[in-house]
Amino acid sequence: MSGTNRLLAPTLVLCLAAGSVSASTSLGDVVGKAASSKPAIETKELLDPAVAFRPQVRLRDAWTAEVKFEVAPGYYLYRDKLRADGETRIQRGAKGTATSRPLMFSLPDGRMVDDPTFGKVAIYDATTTVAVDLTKWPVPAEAKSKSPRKADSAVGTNTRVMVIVSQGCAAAGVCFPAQRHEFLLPVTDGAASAVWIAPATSASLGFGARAQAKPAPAKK
Amino acid sequence: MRRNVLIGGAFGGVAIAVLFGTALLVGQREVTPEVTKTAASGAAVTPAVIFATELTDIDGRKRTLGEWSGKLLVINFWATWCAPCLEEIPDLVAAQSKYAAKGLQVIGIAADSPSKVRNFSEKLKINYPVLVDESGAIALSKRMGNRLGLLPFSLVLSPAGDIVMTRLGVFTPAELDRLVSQQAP
Repeated sequence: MSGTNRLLAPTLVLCLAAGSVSASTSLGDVVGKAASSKPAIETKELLDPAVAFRPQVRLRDAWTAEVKFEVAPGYYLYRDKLRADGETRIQRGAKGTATSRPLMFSLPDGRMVDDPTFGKVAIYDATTTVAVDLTKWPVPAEAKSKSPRKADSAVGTNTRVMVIVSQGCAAAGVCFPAQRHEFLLPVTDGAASAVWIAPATSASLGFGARAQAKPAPAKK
Repeated sequence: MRRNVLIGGAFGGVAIAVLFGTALLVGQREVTPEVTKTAASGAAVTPAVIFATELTDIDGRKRTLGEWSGKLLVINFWATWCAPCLEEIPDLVAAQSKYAAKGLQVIGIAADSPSKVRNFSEKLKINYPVLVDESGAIALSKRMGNRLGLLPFSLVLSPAGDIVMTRLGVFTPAELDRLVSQQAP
């Protein structure tokens, strides 16, 4: 995390400077508020959220993962709506268990905008990478015996699943429900995998951004 | 061979007549293209299915959309986490107040938790029924033509019970004025 701290000070200074220069930046400038002269939004012009925000994950090393959002022009994510949970799924014969824990992550500052409704909010409207701390999320013993290979396509075998929840909008003036993405983490055996992986599953949550982790049973 | 040509010609003639007749009918409806969207291009459900839809309101009462048939119905899907939705609501509130006598009825359907919805309804002084379905509203809106499940999304039914249009994104005050003048003159 020292790398983050080293970046934090100059980033803060830059953000403050940027903030003071663009104090009048409103979400309307980003959003291009739907004025009466603007035609109705056509669904066919809008991207599916998986394409608009293109989330990917890779392991930087055994202790850190990175979540990258390649946010398409005209779309943005809310910084404070991001959630990351680590789900460990163990299969012992016919019995499967899943435990879940929230993960620590360090969020880039993003861009501050003035939302007419929400006030000052930080958004990500360009490619953004978030570092996630894995140190308190051990690799299950059942997974360690396997050699590094591509993640199983069938979720439910011994594996770690990173659950990322994000919520964003299109600048055209519509918002997506929160999106829940599951990433099957490759087993590293100490070696880092530099490959960015796509979500195994992505789904719209029926409601606003909330961590969708299942409550962890008593066992760790 | 000649018989087939004759039959083909007859079918072609009937098809052209049907198309021509439809064009005449459509032309006679006198609605501006940007407001009118037929059910075929917008919603995937029928008015009957829409009116049969049951939802719970913010006071916990079971309601059926059919309660408001006969009105110029603007069914507006929203959520408290959707900033454009919250910006749109004051315009819907104003239109509801202005055009209630003309038969406009806005119905809000919130994809959100009942407590948050109640809170915002009070804050925004919503003067129309607000129904809540936290886990099902987005799916319901998709069945009404909201392909990507985005908010805000509205579906409009005429007093006669026809689907007039669907709308992705906010309604502006000018658009609401125009809608009322065309559908409830």
